Formats: sequence, C-alpha cells, structure tokens
Amino acid sequence: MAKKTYRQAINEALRQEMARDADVVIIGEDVAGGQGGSAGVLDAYGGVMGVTKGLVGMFGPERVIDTPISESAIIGMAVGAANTGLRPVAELMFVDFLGVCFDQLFNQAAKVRYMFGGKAKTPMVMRSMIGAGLCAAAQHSQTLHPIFTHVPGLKVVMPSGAYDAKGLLIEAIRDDDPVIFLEHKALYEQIEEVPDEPYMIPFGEANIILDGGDVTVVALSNMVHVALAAARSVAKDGVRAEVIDPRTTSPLDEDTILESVAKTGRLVIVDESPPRCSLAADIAALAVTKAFRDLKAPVEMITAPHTPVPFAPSLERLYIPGADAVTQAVRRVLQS
Amino acid sequence: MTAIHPIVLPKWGLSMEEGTIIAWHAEEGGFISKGADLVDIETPKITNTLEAPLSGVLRRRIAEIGGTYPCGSLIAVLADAGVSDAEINTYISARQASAGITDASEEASDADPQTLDLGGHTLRYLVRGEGEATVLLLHGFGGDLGNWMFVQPKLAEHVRTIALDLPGHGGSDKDLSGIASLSDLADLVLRAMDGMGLANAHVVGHSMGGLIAALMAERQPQRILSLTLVSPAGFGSPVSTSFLDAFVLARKRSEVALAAAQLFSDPTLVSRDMIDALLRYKRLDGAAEALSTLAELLKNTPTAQGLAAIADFSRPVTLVWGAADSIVPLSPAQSLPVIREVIVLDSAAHMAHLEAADAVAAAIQRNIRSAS
Amino acid sequence: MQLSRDDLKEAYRRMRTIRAFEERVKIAFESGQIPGFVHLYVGQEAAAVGVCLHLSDADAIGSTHRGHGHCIAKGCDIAGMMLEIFGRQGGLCGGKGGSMHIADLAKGMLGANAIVGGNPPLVIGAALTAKTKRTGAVAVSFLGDGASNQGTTFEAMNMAVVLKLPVVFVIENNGYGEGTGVSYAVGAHDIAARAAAFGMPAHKVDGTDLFAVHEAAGDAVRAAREGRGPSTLELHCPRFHGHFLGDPQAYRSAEELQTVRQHDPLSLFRIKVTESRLLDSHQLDAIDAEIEAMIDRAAAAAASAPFPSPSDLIKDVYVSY
Repeated sequence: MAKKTYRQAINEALRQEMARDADVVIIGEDVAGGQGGSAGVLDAYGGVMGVTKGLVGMFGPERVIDTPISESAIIGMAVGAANTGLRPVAELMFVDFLGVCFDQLFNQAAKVRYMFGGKAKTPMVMRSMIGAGLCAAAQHSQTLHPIFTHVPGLKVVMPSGAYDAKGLLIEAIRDDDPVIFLEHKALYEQIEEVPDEPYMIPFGEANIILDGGDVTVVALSNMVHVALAAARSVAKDGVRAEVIDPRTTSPLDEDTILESVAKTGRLVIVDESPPRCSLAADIAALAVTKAFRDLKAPVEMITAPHTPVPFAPSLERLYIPGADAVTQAVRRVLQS
Repeated sequence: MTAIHPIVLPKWGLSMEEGTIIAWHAEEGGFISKGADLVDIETPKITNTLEAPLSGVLRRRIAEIGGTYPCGSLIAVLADAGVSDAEINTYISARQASAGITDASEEASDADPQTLDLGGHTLRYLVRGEGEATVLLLHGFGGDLGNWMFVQPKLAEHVRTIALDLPGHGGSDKDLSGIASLSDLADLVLRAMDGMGLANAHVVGHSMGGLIAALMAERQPQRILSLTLVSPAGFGSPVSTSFLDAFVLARKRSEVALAAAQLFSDPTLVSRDMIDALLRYKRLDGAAEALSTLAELLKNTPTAQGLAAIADFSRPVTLVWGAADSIVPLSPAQSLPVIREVIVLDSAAHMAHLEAADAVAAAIQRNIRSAS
Repeated sequence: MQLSRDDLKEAYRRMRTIRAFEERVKIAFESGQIPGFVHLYVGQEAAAVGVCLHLSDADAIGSTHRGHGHCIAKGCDIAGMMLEIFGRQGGLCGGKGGSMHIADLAKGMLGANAIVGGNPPLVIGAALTAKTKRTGAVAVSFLGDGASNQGTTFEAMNMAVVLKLPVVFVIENNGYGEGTGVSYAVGAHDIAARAAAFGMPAHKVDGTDLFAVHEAAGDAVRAAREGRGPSTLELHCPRFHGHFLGDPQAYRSAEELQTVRQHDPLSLFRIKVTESRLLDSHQLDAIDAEIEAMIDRAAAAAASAPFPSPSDLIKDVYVSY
C-alpha cells in the first residue's frame, strides 16, 4: 500500500489487468505515441496526460495500439473487438470528441446486446477525460456524463479519487457491458492510499464520504472535492453535511441518496455540467418523486451555467461550481 | 486529576497521517467526563469522534475548526481548574517547541510492515519493540495485524513483538492454494517463524488465530514458549456460522457494518474507518475466495480441536474471553490442567484485544512472565 | 479457385434461398404480416454468396439494413430469421431486432446494421480480435455505395491499412443510396479508386456473376488470412426492388427497371452451369422445390408464433446492472 496519484492508480489498474488477461488491449491516439516519428521512439506520450505511460514497453505495440486520429474507428473497433472476444480499453482523448464517434457508442455499443436478443456482449471500456479547469475552452472542457447516462446499455463511471479510480477501472475492465470511464483532468495529481493489489469496487454503490445529519450533498468526480470544501466550511457553524459520491451515474445508487434525504430532509446537488437534463436534474427529480414527503426545503442544484465552457481564466472560474456557491446553497436549504 | 493532560490528534489506523477538525463538542472552560464526545475529526475518507480520555476541564482548544493537523499534534489541553493559565501556556509552548523533534523520533520507531516470501505465499508482518523473547500475534478470521494496534505497542515496551497477517488476510497473499486445513495454516506459520529467524516464540492468537496457535503447539511444542488465546476457536464452542456467512457475503458498507457490529459489546466502536478498512480488504482480488474457504474450514472444525491439540502441552496457557462474545461464546469446557488461567472480561465481546486492550496486554505479559 | 459440383450446388442453394426468402418476405409484408419496413436483397445474391463461400463460422461479417442475403449466405437459421422479421418469440434476436438487426454471433454474423456506414469500424474490430489472438480468421464488411460516402468507412479503411488488419471491404454498388444515384452522390464515381487510395488492393467486379465474385473474393480473403492486410471489392449488382419495400422508385426509369432483371444472378448462374454441363436443370429444379418447401414452413411457423412477452421489454439491456 502506498500513496499514489489518480494517474498512477489508473495506470496500475491497466497494467495489472493487462498482465492478468491477454485479451485486454488499449486502443487510442498516442496511447504510446511516437509511431512514424523521426526519432524512432515508442512511448513518446503514454497518453496525452501520461496515463498509459510505460505500458507499451511492458505489453508491446500489439496490445497498446496507437491509432490514427479516427475516433469513430477507434471506438467502433473496440466495440467489434469486444463482440468477438477481446476486452478493449479504448481511449477517447477528450470527451468532447464524442461528437465524431457518437454513433459507434450509442447506436452500436449500447444497443448490440438488446438488439440481438441477449446473444452478444460488449465487454469494452471507453476511457475519456472530462472537466473544466485547465483553460482548455469549449471543445476540451466538457463533462458530458448526462449524455452517456441517458443511453440505456451504457454504464457510466466517474471516479473522484485515486482509490476509487483503480477499483472502478478494474471492475469496468472485467465487466461484460460497455463502460464509459470518465477521468477528470483536474484530478490526475490527486493522491490517496491505493492498495498495490488489484481490487474491484462494484458499480451502483455510492460512497458516503462524510457522515452528517443536517443536509445531504451529492456530488460527482471533481465536484466531490468542492462539496467537501463546502462541508468543512459549514462545519465551522456546527452544520453536519452528509457528502455522497454516487461514483457511477449508470447504474445510480438511488437508495443511498434517498436514505440520506430521509434522514436530513435537505438536498444539495453539485454537478459540473449545465443544468438542463443533467445529473443534478435527474437526482432532484429522484428526490421529489420518491422522497417528497421527506423534504423540508426546496432541492438546490449547483451546476455550471447553460453556456459552453469559456476560455478566459476569470470566466472559467465563474463557470465551474465553487465551494462558496455550495456553501450558500447549504445555508439556504437550512433556513427553509 | 492534578496534572495537565494533552489531547493529541489520534492516528486511526496505519495509513492515517493527518486529520481535519470538524466540530468541537465541548466549550473551553467546561468540564468534560471521560468517554464523552470531545471533537469530530475528518480524515480524507472518514470522520470520527474523539472521546475524552479522562475527566477534566477543557482548558484550551488549540486546533481550529476547519484546520488540518498531523497525527500526534496537540489539539487541546485538559487539566484541573486549579492549574493556572500560566502553567497551561508554558506547557503548550514547551510542547509545541519540541513537537518537531518528538514527531521525528516517533516516526523512526513506527516501522513499516515487512514481507516474507515462503515460496508461494508472501506474508506481511510488523515488528515492534526489542528483546530476547518474541511475542507472535495471530489475528482471527477476516482480521489483520492491525487488530493488535492497541495491544502491540503496549507489549513492545517490554519485548519484541511480531504481528503477522495470516494467508488470505491484510497484506499477505490472498491465494490459499495448498492450504486444505487449519493445520496447514499452523504449519505455514511455523515455516514463517523459520523465515523470520524465530527459534521459538510466545504465541498470542485470537479466534481462528487462537486455534492455529494451539495447532502450532501440538506440532512443534518445543518452539512455543507460551500460549495466550483470545476467544479461540476450537475450545468448546463452534464459531457462529451466521457470523461467518454474514461476513463472507457482506458487500455493501451497511452489510459489513452489521456483521462487524456482532464482534463488539459496544457497537459504537465500529467506526467508519474500521468498516472502510474491511470493505477495502474484501474488495481485494482473492479476498472473498480466501474468506469463503476459511469459513468452510472453520465450520468443519471439531468444536474441541484446540483443546485436544494442547492436551499434552507443558507450558503456560492463558485464555482470555469477552463475557459478551457471541461469535465464539465462552464455553465451560476449559478445565484442562494445562490452562493456567481463564480471564473473563465483562467489558468485551469477541474483540477483547480492541475493546479491553489494557487487560489483554496485561494478561499476555503475566502469561509470558509465568513461562520464564 | 475451382468450384466442385458440390460447391456449385451449395452456391446455388444459398442464392436460391435468398431469393425465395425475399420473395416470401415481400408477400408477407404486403399482406401486413411484417411490422416496420424491409429492404430486399433481390438481384444481389451473387455478391453475398460469392464472398461467404470462402468463410467459415469463425470468420466475421458485418452487414447493412439490406442484410437478409448476408445472413443467409453466412449460414443463419432460416426459420429463426423469418421469426425475427415477423417480430416473434424464437426469432434470432427474440423479436427485438427485426429485419435491420438480425445477428447470429455464433455464425460469425455480427449483425445487420441500420446505420449506413455503421459496420466498418465494428468489422475492423473483429479483424483486430483475429489478429491479436492469431486465430487466422478474417472479417468482411458488406457495404453499399451509400456507405462509401461515410466518414466511418474511410476511417475504418485507413485504420485497417495502418494496423494491417485481416479485413475485406465488399462494397455492393447497386446504383442508389436510397433515391439518389451513384452518378450524383459518389464523387469521381469510382469507389474502388477511393479504397485504393488508402493503400490497399481494390477491384471492380461484376456482382451479378457468382464466378467473378467468388474468384475476386478468394484472392482478397486469402490475402487477409495470410497477413497481407485489407482489400476492397466494388461489386456492381443492381437491386431489383426499391430502397425499401413499397418504394415507388420514381427515380428509376421504366427502361432501367426492365433491363435490371436481365442481369439476374440466378439465371446467369443457371445458364453457365447447365451450358457447361456442370449441373443439369433437374438438379437445380430439385433444389428450388426443396427450398420453396423450407421457406413455406418457415413463413407458416413465423405467422403463428407468439409475440415476445411483456417481460422481454426490459431484458438484455445489460449483462448485469
């Protein structure tokens, strides 16, 4: 057991699963990097964020497969390979590139099993980078988890820390359904104790990160840390917030959220996507349809605005939900 | 209480290095009773309530709400009302001035666990303390060397101690291939003693570890200097099958919490970090299979296998039992002449070494002394 | 590669089965027995059969919305297909796929695909599996001229060349993408040349001639199996019917509609094998009769089979959830 970064935890999960199962292959742009370059080196990148660094040296270019910039072919190839016996981990470098491969995910990967009457399975993972905070502007900063979550047939995973990242990725690779694994780019340096051994964290089990009886705060991915900062802030006034990280949006652990709301009667949801048809809206709907009588105050949704992600640092800071906004929301629900 | 008593940020488990103050439950200048909630502390994964270790006036709250402090930092001071403010201030300044040095020396003695390769089985163990004699600590089913976190430091003040992770547990290999019985496990621990250069040892075992200790004494009695067994399996009572099943099947936090609560006389002792650690252990590759294998072995173990194993053992044997133990209930069968003492602790259930660590440590020390 | 008499019978049997199946589907559809819509493969039989004669169950194919022919050529169960198209229990996909999503992975049939250009990325995935696991299998992507204009096709062709995948792209140029002609929609009017530009062998072949298709496909499949990478075949094979059944085909002249049937792959085959005395008419007629009876049974069974049960609605979205 050692302290590892989110990046190292993901790399370790990939390495251990590739060592364990020869059917696991990595497919993507510059997952090794350097093919065809004048330097003649492999592993020039190891992924644009270095997440797959070193793997090509261990498993070779036949299992760490550098591809042209062809997202439809990358994702579709992973789907077809999964249908025929491999367990591919395809990398969609930035989730924003979904636009150029969505058909292969939502019409193909997600529907194969149902369309074919349960006679096929698609054990693939699509890893992708999400989130604002690095001034990457409108086409490299979205979260987009609501879009995936909307599609029956896909599972959607959003680890908020290094420990969860490793366990959820191993679960994703061993899972027999297509799994969208969303890594927040602001979390790659996040450090936690991560066991050296492989382990699995089941999907659909929320993590109660902080116990509290006064207000329920649900947050995902990087927003978990925003929620925790807000919880610490209101703790100074003696307010005990329960912070829940659903970890997966599909399946969603409704029970844990509803049990918490039954206890606190107050719900704040923090979501880094725009509000319409977001996870925040989804969880708010869950609370009002299934726990309306438990609610003592209107549900608060702290989300990004209904805009693209801006470039200027000053605007991007405004775009991303912050701890102050969450703190104020917690105070508002407590006053009702 | 006449002295000044420091309250430091506790270290809950091996991995904890710092904590954040969430809320104080007592006001400065107020009297607080031993055991009352004092302060809520959050680690990156857990929040726990620290209770007052003894009664007194909370003279000073040093740590601020929202602040993050390293384990061992002075966060508050308890003292009698009679102690002057000046004395308190002097105490705090002195303590804070030496904090860096003290912490560093504590770090040095707080050694990391080591591993031992027995050809096919890698075992993790933690050595603490020095001395000619060695006490070997064997945890029970589903436990790990951390179960001795309160007992081991106390013993280590006088002797060398080694807490071992049994195969399938903690940081040891989860693969139980080649292990078809608890006797095989006893053989493996004896081989581990070889690997650690231990000609002999005082062996302390809890529950399943207690039975393994007894089986070790049966196989190589000359190497076992004494046996102190805490709620051992195989001493007249079967291990609760409902507990074994619940523990093996528990997947969710709530299920693990329910199973763990059965172990203690005071269920509030089941802290978030304990459940977190159990959950994390159970998620490791191979852990579920290992637990399931061991649970079957325990279910099929003759109820008096341990008693039979030590029938001819000539060195001191002490049994320690929590009166409220419902996992391996206290049995009237322990009347063998080799059993020197049976200690029943009212304030404990199955985990006496966690619930009544002082009493268990004292019992071990008495038993060791009687052996020499 | 020479075709034995048994091979020839098998080739004819598969083509005849496709023809009979499609004609029966047409009758059933027009009498209201089949929900949704269907796209018939009539006129293109030699394409699917000429290619699939080189394939075993271990090889994979990806198909299109006009997929019945590919399914039959690849060995899918006829009764199961008919049940599926009727939307009934016991269909190859339990009645949840229908005409445009028939699949049978055990037969290497990765599915008809209702997205034009949907299958090439999937098929190169099957080829990647074959290459990675060194199974010696090949994967074939059946496409239309319409899909030749899709980016997914270009991406998959380039990827297949880059990764040297054992794949054959079979582009069935039937002259129309829905109601728009190739002469309008395909720039330069030359699909094979596009494929060749990616760096792979690409040939134009008469898709109504079973023998020509069989020979060209043999070379392409062999190259793939031997690790020499992908190839493309552009097969010219006009469809007899419209884009979908019921399509009034206002975009086709009366003259074209008449001449198209002069290139009937089954008639051409019959003439060739009987003139060369490889098979005689009686043998072929016997096969016709046998197949007619089989299709009768399949259609009757499909018409009387129960629809899926309500509980099937939420089944098989996931392996586990």
